[in-house]
Amino acid sequence: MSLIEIKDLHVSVDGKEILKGIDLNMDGGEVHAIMGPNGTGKSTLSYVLAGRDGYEITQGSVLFNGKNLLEMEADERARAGVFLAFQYPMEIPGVATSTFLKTALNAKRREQGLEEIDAMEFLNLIKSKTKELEIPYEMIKRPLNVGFSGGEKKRAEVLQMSLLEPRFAVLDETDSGLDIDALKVVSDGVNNLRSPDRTFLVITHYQRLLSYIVPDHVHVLVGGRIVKSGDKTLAELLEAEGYARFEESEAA
Amino acid sequence: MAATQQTVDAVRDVEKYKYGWETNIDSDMAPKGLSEDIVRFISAKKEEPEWMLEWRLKAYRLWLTQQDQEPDWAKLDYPKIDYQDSYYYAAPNLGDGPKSLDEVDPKLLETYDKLGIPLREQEMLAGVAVDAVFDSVSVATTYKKKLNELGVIFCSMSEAIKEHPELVKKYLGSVVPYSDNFFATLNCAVFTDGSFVYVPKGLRCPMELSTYFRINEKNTGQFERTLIIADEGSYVSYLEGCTAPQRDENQLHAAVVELVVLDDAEIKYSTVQNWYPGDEDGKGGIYNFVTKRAACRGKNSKVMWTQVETGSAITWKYPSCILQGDNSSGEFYSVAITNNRQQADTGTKMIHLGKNTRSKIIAKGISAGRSNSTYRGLVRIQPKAEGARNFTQCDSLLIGNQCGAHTVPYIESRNPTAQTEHEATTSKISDEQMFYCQQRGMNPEEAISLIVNGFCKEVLQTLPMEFAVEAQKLVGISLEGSVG
Amino acid sequence: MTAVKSITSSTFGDTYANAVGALPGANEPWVDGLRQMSRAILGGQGMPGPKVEAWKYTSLNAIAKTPFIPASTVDDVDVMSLPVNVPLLEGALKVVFVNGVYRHDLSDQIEGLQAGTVLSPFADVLKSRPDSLKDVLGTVMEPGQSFTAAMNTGFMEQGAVVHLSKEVNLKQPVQLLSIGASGLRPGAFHPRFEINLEEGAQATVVECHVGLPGQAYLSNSASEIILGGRAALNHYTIVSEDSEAFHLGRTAVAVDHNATYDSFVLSLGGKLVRREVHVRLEGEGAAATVDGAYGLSGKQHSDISSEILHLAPETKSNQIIKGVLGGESRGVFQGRIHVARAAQGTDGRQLHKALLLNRGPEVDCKPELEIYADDVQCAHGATTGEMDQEHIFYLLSRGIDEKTARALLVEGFLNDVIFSVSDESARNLILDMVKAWLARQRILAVGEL
Repeated sequence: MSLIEIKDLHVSVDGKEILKGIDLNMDGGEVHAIMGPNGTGKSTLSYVLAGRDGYEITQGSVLFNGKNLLEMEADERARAGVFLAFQYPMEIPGVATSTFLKTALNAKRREQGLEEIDAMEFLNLIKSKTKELEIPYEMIKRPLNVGFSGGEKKRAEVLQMSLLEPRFAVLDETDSGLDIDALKVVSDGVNNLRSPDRTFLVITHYQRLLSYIVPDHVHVLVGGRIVKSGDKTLAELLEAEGYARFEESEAA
Repeated sequence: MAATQQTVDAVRDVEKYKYGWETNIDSDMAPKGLSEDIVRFISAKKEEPEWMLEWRLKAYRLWLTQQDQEPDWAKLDYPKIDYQDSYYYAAPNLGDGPKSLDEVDPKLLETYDKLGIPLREQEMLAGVAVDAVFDSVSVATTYKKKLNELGVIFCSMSEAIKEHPELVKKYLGSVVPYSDNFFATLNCAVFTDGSFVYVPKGLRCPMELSTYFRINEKNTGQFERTLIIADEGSYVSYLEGCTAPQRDENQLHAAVVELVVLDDAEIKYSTVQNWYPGDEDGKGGIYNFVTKRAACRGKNSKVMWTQVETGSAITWKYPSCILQGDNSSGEFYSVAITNNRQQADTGTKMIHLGKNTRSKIIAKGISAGRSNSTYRGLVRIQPKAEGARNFTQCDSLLIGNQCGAHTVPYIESRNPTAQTEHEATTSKISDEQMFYCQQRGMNPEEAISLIVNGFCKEVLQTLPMEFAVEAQKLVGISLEGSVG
Repeated sequence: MTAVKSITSSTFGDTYANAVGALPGANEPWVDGLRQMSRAILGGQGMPGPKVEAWKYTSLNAIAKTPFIPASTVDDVDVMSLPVNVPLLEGALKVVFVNGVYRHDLSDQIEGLQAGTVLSPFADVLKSRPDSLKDVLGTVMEPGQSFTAAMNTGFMEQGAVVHLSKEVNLKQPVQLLSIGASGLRPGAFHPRFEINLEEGAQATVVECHVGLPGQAYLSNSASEIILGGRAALNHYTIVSEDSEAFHLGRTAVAVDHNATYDSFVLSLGGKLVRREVHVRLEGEGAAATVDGAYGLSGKQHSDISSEILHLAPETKSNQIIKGVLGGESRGVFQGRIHVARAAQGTDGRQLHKALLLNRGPEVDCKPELEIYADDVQCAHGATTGEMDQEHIFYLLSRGIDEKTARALLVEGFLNDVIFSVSDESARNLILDMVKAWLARQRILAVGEL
């Protein structure tokens, strides 16, 4: 049994079918990349896995660790170990990043039957994590994502991932809006989190990110279907040739 | 299920009123109803001097002529109050009155324990001096001795009338005169107790002073009267908390608070109001009609009102500042949360009279269930208020589509060098914010509590530490029961 | 209503009513009924006093004390030609009223306009085809809503009817020009404008209220506007009455789905001016812009009171009002945005900014949000204060004298909102009027403006 088993997944938004039968198995420790042109259903897949409202699953199933993921509420999924790094992290005025992080961390600890984290311990934890990710410690005192630059927002996302230690992390266009330096920092952060019991699904438009976060498997998503799977060389091929020929075959 | 829908469903659930027990102790009650005899009875019970009785009677007689002048301009809907259907005096029967905490009825102390204010413990440990008012009668004042040594007078109003008549005569009614408004006039006639504070010149009061009010008796009105005087160059922080047991009948609370601030002095007045709000159908709950006003008489004087209003079926309350002294400043920070059928019409008045006077208003309203919450505020700049400044920010948050949130500011300026600035917004918790929090593992209840606390943060952080924590929990609780 | 809430005045009582004589449409029971009902409201409630919340900041005492006669009976003054300095909108169809009486001789030819267009004197329509107004008159301008509406409806006599059939785009703007001219006795008139645009129709209507110097008069106008689905109306109201005049005017608008009501009120002249705007966004996607500006000097009193009611989903309103106050004037802005429970997706914005030029004026502002739907974005803001010293300094440092600098900044302050007037010729007219107003004020020392 794989950690994540997506079977024949069909998803509609406002009556329009976006995903038209996705099959994907991901094992522990693997990094899968999904590549595809804009508007092909990449973000839909990430939101469906994370449990956002407004997506109608018309067919198929998703098993996470043997459990029916689609029956769980978004927060339950997160506590069970699903993490989505958002393409556009939300700004929440008035809520300090640290308060947010602590609240999220404790929610998870409670689920695991652990006590709430001690204030000192939390502070030390944050200090070391921010240092690792080259995030100015001051940032965590600021309201969540409010006034953060694009790069700061993405780093804050990786910080959250690193704190919450998910089993399964979905990175939705994490490279968008990042310059090369920020991209490297964020990728290093992700790479440090790679481990045999953690699975990544990296969603991206460009191959660029995949030269930093090297995937075990690459899938091409076009028109709501995975039209081709391969190893990391597939990403390089796509970079050289573009998505055109896959789109043609889809149309045909 | 959409996050909002979850919220709505959750909020619809019965709100649990954590403080809804009742204490069984003998109490000494005057007959029901209001008459000149009752006013005399109260005054006699309190062994008041003649001048006090005269003042009460003057107020009572005026009030009788005002029967058609009960304020009706607030956005509040409640049946006409029958003032003859209430008790105006209820004192816990304590015999001759406690000499020390050891003599206080243990049941009473237990009540305060439940409220989270263990008097004893506080006397021993914490730095908070507490005056506890139980059905309008002050039952215990802690820390008296230590405060006395510093020259701070902190006692019940009854005691102050007896022990410090010169101060009471000079200041009582000087900020809120007996003729001020219908409810204040009623209060003058029948108030039974309250707290009195005098902070001497140049003293920075080293501890927070605190009063807990509790309405226990059935059908009683609570009419406390508080007077705080900060003499030149002094500072005091005063905390007020309120609870009442759960009852089906509506109970009336009409308090008056007067603050007098002299040159260079500062008063910080914080309230956490958690009177019983009534049940989910709007049955029962406290009618809270309160007149609070500060006179910043001295130059550089300062007043800061902070209120967290989560209780009461009806709230009618406008803590105000009369900024008379040059460079004086007034601040008002408010969180008003209404749920179920609660109605709140609350805000402030900032009257700028002196030069370079400053005022700041931060008001946050959260409406849920079928409740209505209104911010009503007045900023008035008089012609002599050279260089005056006001900043006002009012934000309203709606949870669910059966509630209402209203903003009614009045801005009146008569000096060109003065600047006023008012901003207000109304919105709901976005589905995206909820989803984001849920995606990080919080249940809807936690998520709402977190977001609402963030929304109120600017106000909550002005509370003294020990209160801030309680208030934060209260924010969660009042939308809880409720959520999830 | 208790006594303290009303002002006793016999001005608009029986004597006045008798003097008015037979009003057009009096033989139509429904018209007569509407008038009777309105007068009953006036008689029953009297003039509202300061305890009536809507009249908290504007006192009607001076009007109550003036013994007005119906202006149509004023016979010792006449206007033979359009006075100079009357604001004229370029290329517009002029419909002129003197003391509330339609003047064919001063107006443009209004018959035989493009197909589907009716532009007629109100009295003519009431006399010859009253049924065409039956479903309209008094439906949006409800007499019970306000004293101003009740007074107009009780005594309405003349005015204009603008009716556009489906999809008609009236290219030529219409200018309704009301001129007040009192003789020895103060007159009162109650012009009524009925503007009805059917589905998809489009028009621009400019109302100008001006007066000749002389005695006090009262101009009590009412504009009742109904916009069908997708209709679009630009409606600009310019009030530049004589300095002794009173003006109590009300606009009431119903806006159906995806229709837009784009409006601007300029209030410059008059001893006491109150403009009421009542907008009902009744259909999904309806939108309204309710902007305005006022400039006051001397002892002028100007009141802009608006109510914008969001009654349907996805409705939008935007309001910016800017005022400049000099002398010992008083400016009032009351603005209420109401969002009904059904009006999910509402976007409502409101801003009032007042600039006080010297010691003496008073500004009173009451922006109000009343919200019963949760999925809304509503905001209001209000500021009062003097001119920014840093701005003045910047202009001074470029060699501009202080008087000019201040005038420029005052103009800029008002133009900021006037620039958003969408119709170019109306925008230019308003800009010119503000410029002329400033020029008149500049005769005075800056400090006395």
